[in-house]
Amino acid sequence: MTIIKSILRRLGATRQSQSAGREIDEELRFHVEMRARDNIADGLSPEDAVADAMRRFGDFDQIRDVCEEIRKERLAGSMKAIKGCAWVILGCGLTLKMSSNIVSAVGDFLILIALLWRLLIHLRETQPDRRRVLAFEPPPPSVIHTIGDLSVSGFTENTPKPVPTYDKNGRTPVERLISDESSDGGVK
Amino acid sequence: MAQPKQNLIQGTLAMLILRSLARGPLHGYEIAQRIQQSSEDVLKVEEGSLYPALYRLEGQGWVEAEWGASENNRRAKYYKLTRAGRKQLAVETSNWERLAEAIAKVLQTA
Repeated sequence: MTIIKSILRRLGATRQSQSAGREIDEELRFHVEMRARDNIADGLSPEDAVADAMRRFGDFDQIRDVCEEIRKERLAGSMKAIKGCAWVILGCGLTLKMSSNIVSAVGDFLILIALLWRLLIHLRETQPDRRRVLAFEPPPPSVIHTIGDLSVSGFTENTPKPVPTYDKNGRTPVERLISDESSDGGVK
Repeated sequence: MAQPKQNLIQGTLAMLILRSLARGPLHGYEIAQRIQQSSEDVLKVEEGSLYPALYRLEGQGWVEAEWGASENNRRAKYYKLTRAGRKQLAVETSNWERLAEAIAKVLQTA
């Protein structure tokens, strides 16, 4: 069971590889925003709250790069294991095919599976990552420190900026947060 | 009286993360807070360093991650202990207790 689980986990790792880069950014930004939110609840101004959250977090770019590197290493390990499985199946198929006529059909089937497996791996490795075009750029610290709207921080000139989520009164999410805080008596 | 904040000893962060997750899934920010609160503000995780540690633990199969909704309805990545993670936590806790006991003995006799 452990071996099956391990293979499934590795397959899962390769399936998630394309969106993982964006998800690292999203995860790290979520942390900074949660800290900033708590700072605001503790009475800091939005600018001070974000600055403190960034300071506590550390070098955002470096941390993101380290996470990305760890993820890539894991992915490389997974691909190696999956490739290895294809060769094992091919070996089993050839052995069965050569052993006797009774299991020859099973051997043919395994050889076919192994070749298809290898083909899929090859296609996956050579296919350009279409989602990369829409990749979400990490937030440079300078942008984070100066921008007031937390929900749009992180977008750079290379990516289309979204329409800020202003409400009908023209308030940004941070302004709404402060307003809600004052009306509710504190952010939970 | 305010106590001086101390850096975590290298290598213990993984154990503290696993222990924090023993009671249920948490996202990264909650893990940092859980460690700090459980230690009554004595231990302070460098928040950014938490994530490489979490990714390593995930790579080792000791935790697994899943996206979900946070308490303020934001998309957040939740980590939970795997069965292998629980075993590892037991091993690391046992090792830590032996080490702490050994150090205590030295301090008492030296």
